[in-house]
Amino acid sequence: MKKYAFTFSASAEFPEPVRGHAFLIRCMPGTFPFQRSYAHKLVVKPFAALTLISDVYGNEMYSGSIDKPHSSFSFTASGFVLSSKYLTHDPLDRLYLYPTRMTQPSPGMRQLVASASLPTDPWARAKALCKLTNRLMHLTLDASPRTAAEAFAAGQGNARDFAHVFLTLCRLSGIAARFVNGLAVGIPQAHAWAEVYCGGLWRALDPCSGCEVTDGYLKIAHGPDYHACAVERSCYTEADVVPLRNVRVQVTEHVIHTRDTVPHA
Amino acid sequence: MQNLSLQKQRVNDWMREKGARFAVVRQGQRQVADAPYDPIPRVLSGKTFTYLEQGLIQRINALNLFLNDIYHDRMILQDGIIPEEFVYASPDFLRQCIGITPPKSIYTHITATDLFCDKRGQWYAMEDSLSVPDGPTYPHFARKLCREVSPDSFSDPRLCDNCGLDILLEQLYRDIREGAPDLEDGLVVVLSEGDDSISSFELHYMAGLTGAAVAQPSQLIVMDGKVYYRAPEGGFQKVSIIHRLTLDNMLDPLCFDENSIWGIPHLMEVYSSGKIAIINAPGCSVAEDRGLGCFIPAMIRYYLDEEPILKNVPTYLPWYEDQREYALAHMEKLIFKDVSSDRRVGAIYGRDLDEEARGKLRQRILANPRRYIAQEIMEVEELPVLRSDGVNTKPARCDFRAYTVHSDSIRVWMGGLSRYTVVTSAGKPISGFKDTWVMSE
Repeated sequence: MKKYAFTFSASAEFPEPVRGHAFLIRCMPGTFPFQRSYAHKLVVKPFAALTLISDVYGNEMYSGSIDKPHSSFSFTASGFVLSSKYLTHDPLDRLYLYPTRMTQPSPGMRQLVASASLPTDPWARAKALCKLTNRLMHLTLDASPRTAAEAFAAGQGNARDFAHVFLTLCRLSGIAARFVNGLAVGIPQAHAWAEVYCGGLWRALDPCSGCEVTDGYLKIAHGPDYHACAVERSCYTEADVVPLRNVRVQVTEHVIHTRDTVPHA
Repeated sequence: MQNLSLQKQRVNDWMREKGARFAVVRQGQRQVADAPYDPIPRVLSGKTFTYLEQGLIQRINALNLFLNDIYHDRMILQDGIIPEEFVYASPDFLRQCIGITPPKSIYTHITATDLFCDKRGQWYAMEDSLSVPDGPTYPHFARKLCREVSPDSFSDPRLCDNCGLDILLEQLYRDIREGAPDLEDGLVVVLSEGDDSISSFELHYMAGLTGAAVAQPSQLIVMDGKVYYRAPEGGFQKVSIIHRLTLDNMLDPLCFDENSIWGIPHLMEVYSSGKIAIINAPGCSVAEDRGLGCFIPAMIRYYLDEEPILKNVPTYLPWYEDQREYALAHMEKLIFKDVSSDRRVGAIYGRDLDEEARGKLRQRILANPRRYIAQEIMEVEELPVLRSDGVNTKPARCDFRAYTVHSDSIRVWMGGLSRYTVVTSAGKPISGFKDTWVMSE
């Protein structure tokens, strides 16, 4: 078991003050069979009364609204996570075998899966597709929204795009796969990876590294694609608001001493 | 005939004054057009209406059970009655609605089913509008206006009154309130997309029938887990039921389309807590998929253990290899339709295409067979339509849109929208509507 301290800060500056700002935030590493989050704190500025609710995938999220005009918005989530081997025994939901709007395969992706010589064992196949995604894609920090097909055609994208391309390839080859939002040691932005259902378990692969997820990954939420479990969604009374965003993430590993008490979930 | 001309003029003048227009699909494009009223009604005998009524109740019951199932246990998929692809890969399957149970488990509060009768007198169901079933107000006001012009035309004691639309809607609102313990006590509002939308006339008319308030999304706000209506004169009133004529993805930009400038932020959170009812329930549009429509007979057998009363139009699903081969080998005999619930996508008659166009359509079907259905071309019955001389008539193909209201039970409205299409001497198609007279015997 490992212990991590995390801080996840995100801010948005608006060109003009906005009103009627309604938002949903999924920013806190959750509690899962392999991960326990505790002593966490969320600060939102300007102040907003927050309601903790769950989405249809079981992810916790904070819901709030700010009515008075404001020129900036920020949240900072912090706390600790205890983490063991990344595995989940959730039952298979077969909807993860099918594409979403963001993960519709292109003819090129279909052809790639059809022509690649992939292992028959699902876990070996998923790992091979993860490596393939990593080899074909170039990692950028460009956050503009793209579908999996667009990112695949461009041969580049951010962690979200890598995860979308990988999900699409997995689903094309008959492996149920889901998108994961989270934080990772050494990565200063929100990170994204995927979970694949193989051998009765959900196991995690990170196409940005091309490897299986091991230590240092703090899971926030999962869903069929990024849109289903986005870190933040906001809307305003004013239409066409394009905020300037800034995100900072820090995850540090702490040594667990025997005197540390481990809170129950 | 004198009466008929007067009726026609009165209704058409009134519609022009009120801005009542139809959305029609021409050459794949959605257009707004005048919908001329024809005063010669479609007459349904009591026996025919009873047959259609039984078929519609059965059909809507099965569709409602299907929607409940796919947003909860999904047994029909697990049992292999419907291929998963037809639900999970549908853009209209709203994953955000999984696990949410609407009050009394009713999704299909108000529905419209497009039917037609062939030349041998056999009725067929074509498709169902479940999310935004438009059109019921047209025959309603037409009957009212015509009755004012010539009351004697309606003196046949066997003619059933179609005025009960408002009673059905009020009963629906009452039943929803009575059966939902978590529902807030408050207003019924009819949700509008704005005064310039095609549905604007219809929802104002509907609100007038029932006394509901008309609200634009900006007039509805969520506070403390409840929905409030901001009245134009000031102040907030709690809302218990939203009757919408808007698409699912325009309900809540935080939950559905984040790029939508419409919608009520946090609405779906309130809805999932059971504190508000939405008519029709979000998620309905998945069952409008024309491909899924082919499985309605199977749904009836699966959920109700009954044989379907209404026949479906003979349809081929290119998703299945054998049906694809048949459809591609007999293109000239078939109509091809996109399965999208977006009614902007029209029908393509294979016989109207030249070899090159057929080849292109074939390639599109082969590239994405799930996206298309192919249907037999049916001989739709023709009904007389009054010519512009006000004396003579001409035959026109005419379908029938029947409406159901689903609260504690499913009731079929004793009226409906009969839509006809005629081609002018200049070759231009014109679509209009007729009243539908249901006779007691």
